[in-house]
Amino acid sequence: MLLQAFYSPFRITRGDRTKTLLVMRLTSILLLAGTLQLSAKTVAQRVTLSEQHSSLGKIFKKITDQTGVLFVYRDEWLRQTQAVDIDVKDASLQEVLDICFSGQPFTYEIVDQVVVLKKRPPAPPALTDEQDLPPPVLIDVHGRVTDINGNPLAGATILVRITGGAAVILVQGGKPVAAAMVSGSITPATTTATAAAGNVNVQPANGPGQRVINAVVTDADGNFLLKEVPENATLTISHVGYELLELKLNKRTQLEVRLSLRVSELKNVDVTYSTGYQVLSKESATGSYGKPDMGIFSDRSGTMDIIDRLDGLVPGLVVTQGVSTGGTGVANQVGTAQAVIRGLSSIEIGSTPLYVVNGVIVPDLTTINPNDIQDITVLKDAAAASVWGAKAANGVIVLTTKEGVRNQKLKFNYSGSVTYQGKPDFNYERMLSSQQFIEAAQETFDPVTYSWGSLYNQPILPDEVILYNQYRGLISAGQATQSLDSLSSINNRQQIKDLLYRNAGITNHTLSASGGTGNYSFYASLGYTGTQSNTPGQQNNSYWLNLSQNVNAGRNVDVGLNISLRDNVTSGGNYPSADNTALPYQLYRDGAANNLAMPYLLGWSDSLRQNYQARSGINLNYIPLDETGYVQSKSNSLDMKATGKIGIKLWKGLSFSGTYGYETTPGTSSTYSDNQGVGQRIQLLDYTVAPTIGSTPVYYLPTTGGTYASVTNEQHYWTVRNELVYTVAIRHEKDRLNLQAGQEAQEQFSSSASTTVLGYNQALNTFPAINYGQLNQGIFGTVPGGFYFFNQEPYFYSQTLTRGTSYYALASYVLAHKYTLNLNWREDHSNLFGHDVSTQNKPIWSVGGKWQLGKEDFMKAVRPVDDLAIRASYGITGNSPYVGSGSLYDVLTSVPASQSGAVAGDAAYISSPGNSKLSWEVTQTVNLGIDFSLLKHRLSGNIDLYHKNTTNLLNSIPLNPLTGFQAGIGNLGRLTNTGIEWRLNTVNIQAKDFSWSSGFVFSFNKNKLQSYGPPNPLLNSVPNRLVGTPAVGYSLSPVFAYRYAGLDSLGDPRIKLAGKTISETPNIAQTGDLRYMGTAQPVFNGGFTNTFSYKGFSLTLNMIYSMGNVMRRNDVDNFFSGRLTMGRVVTTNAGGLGGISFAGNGGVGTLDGINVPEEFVNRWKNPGDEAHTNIPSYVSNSFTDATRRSDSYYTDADINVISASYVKMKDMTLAYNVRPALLKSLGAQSLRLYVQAGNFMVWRANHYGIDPQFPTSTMLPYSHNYTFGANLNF
Amino acid sequence: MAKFIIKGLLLILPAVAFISCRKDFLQVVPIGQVIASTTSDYNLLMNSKNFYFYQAGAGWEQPMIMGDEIAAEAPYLIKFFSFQQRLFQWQDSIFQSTDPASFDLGAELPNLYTCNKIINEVLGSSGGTDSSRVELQAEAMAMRAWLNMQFINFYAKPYQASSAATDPGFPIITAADVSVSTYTRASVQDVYDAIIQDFTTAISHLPVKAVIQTRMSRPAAEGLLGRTYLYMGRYSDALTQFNAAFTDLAASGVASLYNYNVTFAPGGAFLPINPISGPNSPGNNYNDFTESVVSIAFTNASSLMEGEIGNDGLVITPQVAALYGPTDWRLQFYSANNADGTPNAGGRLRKYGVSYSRCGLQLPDLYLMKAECEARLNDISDAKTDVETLRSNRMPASDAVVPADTLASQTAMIQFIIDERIREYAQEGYRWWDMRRLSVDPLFTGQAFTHTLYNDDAAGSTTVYTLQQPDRLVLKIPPTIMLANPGWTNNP
Repeated sequence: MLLQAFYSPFRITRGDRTKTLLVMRLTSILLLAGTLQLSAKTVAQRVTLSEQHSSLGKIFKKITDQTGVLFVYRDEWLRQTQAVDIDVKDASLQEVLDICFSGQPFTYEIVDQVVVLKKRPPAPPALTDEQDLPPPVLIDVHGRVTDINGNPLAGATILVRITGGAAVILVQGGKPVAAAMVSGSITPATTTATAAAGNVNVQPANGPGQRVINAVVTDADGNFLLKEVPENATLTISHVGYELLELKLNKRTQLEVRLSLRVSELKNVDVTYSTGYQVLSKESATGSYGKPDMGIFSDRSGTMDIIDRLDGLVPGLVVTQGVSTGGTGVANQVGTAQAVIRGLSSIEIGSTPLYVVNGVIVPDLTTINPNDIQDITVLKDAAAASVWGAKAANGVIVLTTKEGVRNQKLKFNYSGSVTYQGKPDFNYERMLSSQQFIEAAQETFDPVTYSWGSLYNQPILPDEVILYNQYRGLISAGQATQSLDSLSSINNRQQIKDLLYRNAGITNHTLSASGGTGNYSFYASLGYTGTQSNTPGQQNNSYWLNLSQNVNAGRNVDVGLNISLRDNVTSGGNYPSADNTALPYQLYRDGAANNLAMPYLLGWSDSLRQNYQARSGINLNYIPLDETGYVQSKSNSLDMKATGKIGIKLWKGLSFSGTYGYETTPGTSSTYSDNQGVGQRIQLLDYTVAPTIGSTPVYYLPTTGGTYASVTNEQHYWTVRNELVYTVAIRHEKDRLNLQAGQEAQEQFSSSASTTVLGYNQALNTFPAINYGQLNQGIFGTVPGGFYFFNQEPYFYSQTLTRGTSYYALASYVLAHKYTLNLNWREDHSNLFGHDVSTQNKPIWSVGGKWQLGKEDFMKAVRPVDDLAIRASYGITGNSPYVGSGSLYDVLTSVPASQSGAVAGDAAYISSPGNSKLSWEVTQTVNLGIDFSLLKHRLSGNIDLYHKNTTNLLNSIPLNPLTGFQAGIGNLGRLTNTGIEWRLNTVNIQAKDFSWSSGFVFSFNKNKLQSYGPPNPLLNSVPNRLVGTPAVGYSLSPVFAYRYAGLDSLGDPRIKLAGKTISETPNIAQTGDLRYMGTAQPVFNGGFTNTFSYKGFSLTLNMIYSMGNVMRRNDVDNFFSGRLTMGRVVTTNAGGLGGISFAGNGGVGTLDGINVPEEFVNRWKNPGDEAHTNIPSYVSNSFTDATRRSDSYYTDADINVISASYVKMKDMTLAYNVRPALLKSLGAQSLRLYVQAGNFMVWRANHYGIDPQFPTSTMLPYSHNYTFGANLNF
Repeated sequence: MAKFIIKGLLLILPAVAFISCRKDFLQVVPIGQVIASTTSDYNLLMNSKNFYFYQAGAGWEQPMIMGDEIAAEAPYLIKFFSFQQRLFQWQDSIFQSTDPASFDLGAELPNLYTCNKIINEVLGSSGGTDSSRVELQAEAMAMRAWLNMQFINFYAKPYQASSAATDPGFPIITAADVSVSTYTRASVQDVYDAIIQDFTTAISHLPVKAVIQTRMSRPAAEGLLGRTYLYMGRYSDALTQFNAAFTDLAASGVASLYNYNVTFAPGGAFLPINPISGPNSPGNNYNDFTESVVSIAFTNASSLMEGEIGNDGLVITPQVAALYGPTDWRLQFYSANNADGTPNAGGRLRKYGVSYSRCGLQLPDLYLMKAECEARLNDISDAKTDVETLRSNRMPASDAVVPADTLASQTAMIQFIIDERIREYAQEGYRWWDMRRLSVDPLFTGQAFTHTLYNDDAAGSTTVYTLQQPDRLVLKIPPTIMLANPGWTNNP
């Protein structure tokens, strides 16, 4: 393989440019024609022609006009011919034809008055003088261009040099003209972004007779197709930023080409931004856009969560970990991560950005297979996002899925990965060990305050039973000690891990195919994702299908259709959950493999339970591990999306574009709870009347079968968008004007119908008739006493329908390719219930400008600067208070009597009070940006500065309680967000086999509530401050704390007031006594990526960081009073169980919520301890605890607020590209294997082992995950 | 082929394009939700269960804990919320700044909003008859007056004609408007005037018989107006209203007394007696309106049934227990067992058989209030008749007779009626309201109110709390309300 540096920039003149454009137009005209053509006129054999760069077709017409000679040819042949320069006077027909056909792939024959075109016979290989050589054999060449890592290179130019002629690349401004023309002629600016491959034939300016050069450009996957090139031609492959490569074809029809980075001419990858409405070139983008590194994105196959994969890759995009406990009390990998773009600017509407897939809004991204994603653009400022109107106040994330490429042979890709996540980290947030727990139980034992009798309806733990038995004189002190000692020697941690958990992981396979012909292309993929959660017996499988097609229906119509399908099938049993707060000594299975009973968890004393059991005849034992099979649930959720696009060229630069999206997600789920399950047994007990032991129990609910509940969901969303686009080049192509205006309508509908059948027998499909009338009115004198009314409805239906219409207009003007001005305008109307439409007449607009400084002549002299542009934008986005939050009139919700048990019948209540005094929330955004590329492109990136000013911020604010409502939507005040973001890419080392490059993503955001709208004193109260209610002068998520002043001589926490006095008096603190600790939102965050490549190996280290914010410790002592079990006092009310779900319903069934933090051991115990501990004493009497002191002086103290800063190795990926030579025998083009390890804490600012990504005490994090993956192209 | 596709698309496109231009495209009414416009919508609002069933500490649960007819057992009281224990101890500040608001206001203020909405809007509604609209407005007015009675009797001094015009009361709220930022306290006199005005207007439009006794009727409004006058010491005006109420009750045919001699007899309706919740009486069935003029129920049950808030630790004092004769069937609602079923070593009685008390207007209350007014107007014989009507339904007729020495003295007769109120309504909140009005009644001045806490259920130690009069007969306004209304002066 010949490797030769070769590069000679060539500046094109305007004249040339006009000519090449002529070719293009002509080519497209020729495309229209049908098949064989004949034309005839009178005969005259002498010809006079003066044509510059004319097509053969045009010349033929002139010859026919002058001579009457007819030409016979196939229309598509003309497309393969080159333009001709000719200047002849009174020449013979043959002379003229010889000039015309010189260098063309055709020759001719004159038969009578007819010129018949013929394919030129192949020429023999030329040696010295090509004029004497026979024409070469023409072959089609398929190929693929990648970088040395095997990543496809789009936009590489392949030139064909025919034996000895000089290859010339036409370059303007560092960009091959050929590439520009391809995208300019085949891909209209209004359709999709994907670079299309195509053949363009270029005639250099040196005059007629010059060697013709055939040039193609690679598509998005790096593929190219050269048609009918001489089999011995030499190809010159070039790409901006890469070393130029020259190689001889030597009759090969398949080529795999690798280009190495050019140190001298590193360039930015050609970037386009998709807003969902248009694809903007870098030149015309005036707004602030962010794009992730898609390589890292696709390598993060350990999660199928698209937002999670974006963590640290886009400046200004903060990702918070999804918190989904999935009913198990521990972090579950299926939790959906949340994205916040540029801080919080709208609280009420939520901080979630708008998600757009292929130009259509989608409700969530979980239905998209990450492997199908081609491109992601994050729209951040007003100029970028205002095109989406009011919904875009939080920014927009625009996804484009993969599409096929025209003129490409069929190719396949397989991506697969397996991720191992293991079990949660049970050592996170240390709780009392069994021994410590027993000691704590003895130390806090208070049989006087908590008399044995008063515990009749509370759980009494085995250790307490021993202590009470000793106190009541039932056992001796020795017996008690012995029993307690044996409990303290048991540790159930291993049983929890083994019996209640399994290793979690994800398996993922995607197989895709793509290809295309001249006017058709497709991309299709099939995928499977298997998610194994931590809970044994659960299954969660997703099946994906995606088909994307593009077709040219005639010359003026482009049609695109994308269909995707996801089917998510889950099933599961009924595993009790336990985390580190479970009772530490309680085993779940004994040595003989018998599942152990723990009836005390149901919350009755043993004698009361025996009494209930005897009267009702219902088994009231509880053996958690026996319960696993008693509930079976399954669900099937389908998601189907279809997006159609049509582009119709109407007249000159005017075209019509339509986007039509439809998504439907039918789903069903069902749960069967057998009557043997504890939930069902307790529900039955609540509806059983049996006054005495021995009386015959009367059961008002079925005693056999089980409860079968099924839910059918249906959602559909549709979008219709019609727009007119006008694009015109002005001042001889110097300027470009783009106008776009359209109208769109959307509907989002969702409904849910659930059916609940009691006493269902699955095998026989039978169920008894239920007297709902009687159950709704209540059953009196039941076994647990009192009156139970049954409010489970046999049928429940709900639906929501949201509609919107919008009008928008976009304009952009690019002056002299250097100065760009963008204007966006939009007005949204949505269906308003209880509102006036006039409240919505508030347009959203933005204006943006860009100056490409780097293109100015005076910048040419500044050598270190390769490229420089500055941007500025200003815009207004906003939210009507009456969309989805506040209402102008009182909204009434009806309550059927069957649900409320209301004897007076159906009723209504005011679910949302009207408020006519709300104002629009308006956000003004100013954005300044710089895009740069320095030091021969070794250093490139962009910096953005923004300031957002939100007035009349909508938020749920406390109302004067005398109005009848505690809180409602109100205009909170004025909020500002100021920030800096940058992205920096550097190439640190670029050697022959080794390279090292870095990417640094940084964002800084500071928000501040500047003023309240209407003053509301409640916002300033101490409790509101402590829970982080926005306060004037502080960030939107302020963290306030008491100034801790240690303990007093009783071990009660004390605080320092503003007047420096120290007090332990409860509730004495005023707002001014609190200390502002910082904000809970990250101030600085981003990512740092380093990629090292050596030959086929690459190592990517991907760090994320988040700094500047604070959090409260989640592991502080929270047990100050009452019994050691008080954390899980349960009630056995019907309301607490519902009878259907068991695990995850809270209260009964969960095994956790008992243990307390280990810090309890170090509490104040004796006078004098205050000298060396800050942890308050334990006070048995809860009323004393509540009146004598405030425990929150400690838990909400400043000493328990810690920095939430951290740096994490999000993932490390080692990849190997198998050498193509090895793959050839397999018929594969490339194979990439990689291993990835994720979630390694590098640094954290706290000493407590707290992972700030898991700040709540309700879930346990995972330690690490490991992924093995492969990527095969064939 | 392609041409067909294009033609097809060109035909379809305009059709699709203009779907969204239809005028009704945005006119979507969500299922299950309405903006009140018809009279029937307002009727549904008035039918809300929130008006006749108060849960989770609302209703008269707070007064129930403050009544001096009860005492408490420490081992069980410890399970109470702190605010409940503070109520029992008659502490100065019941609610702390960390509490959202009091339970009564939390439940009643939204109802006030709904009443104001109905009063202000229903006359403009469509679909009903003029009389049905006026009737609904009258119902809402009567309900608003009932709510204002709660506010003024929880958070202001007992009515005294001499100082009512200057005693700070409660805001008179007549608009349903969430955007109001601050309110001012009206005087006690103004609030009472507003209550009387609402009841009086309502009485002239209300139906004699409500569709169901959860809704206001003319006799209900008359009885409640009578109660208002009674609290103001205007016994004659009160009696006029009570008489009118009885006349209207007779006309409507609703509300009659259960005869316990029958219902507790073998095979009686109140049997069997559940060991945990007691007799199968209206006290266990809030849908039983037999004795209700207007039924406004609240939960008043053991924590075993009600979960978090219960009355497990409360007992009646031995003095109150001594008020009952041995044959009084009302003793069936008491148990000498603790909540866990073990016998109370002190033998004190716990009212376990009434899980749902009523704070609307009950027929026994109407009889007793009427009797008291008669006694106060020195009509002893009518008072005797009314008291004995009630008593003969509660115990064998022979024991129901008012003792002769009582009949001999007006004061003794009034005291007897007050005691009968305790016998009928102990541990149900009624006593607190009586304590307040009697504290300013010259006949009863100087009474001390105490609460005894039995530190264990044997004869052991006790703690006695004395109510600080007059300040602690008034609840302080919860901190949340104070904070929202800067400039208010809280009750002392």
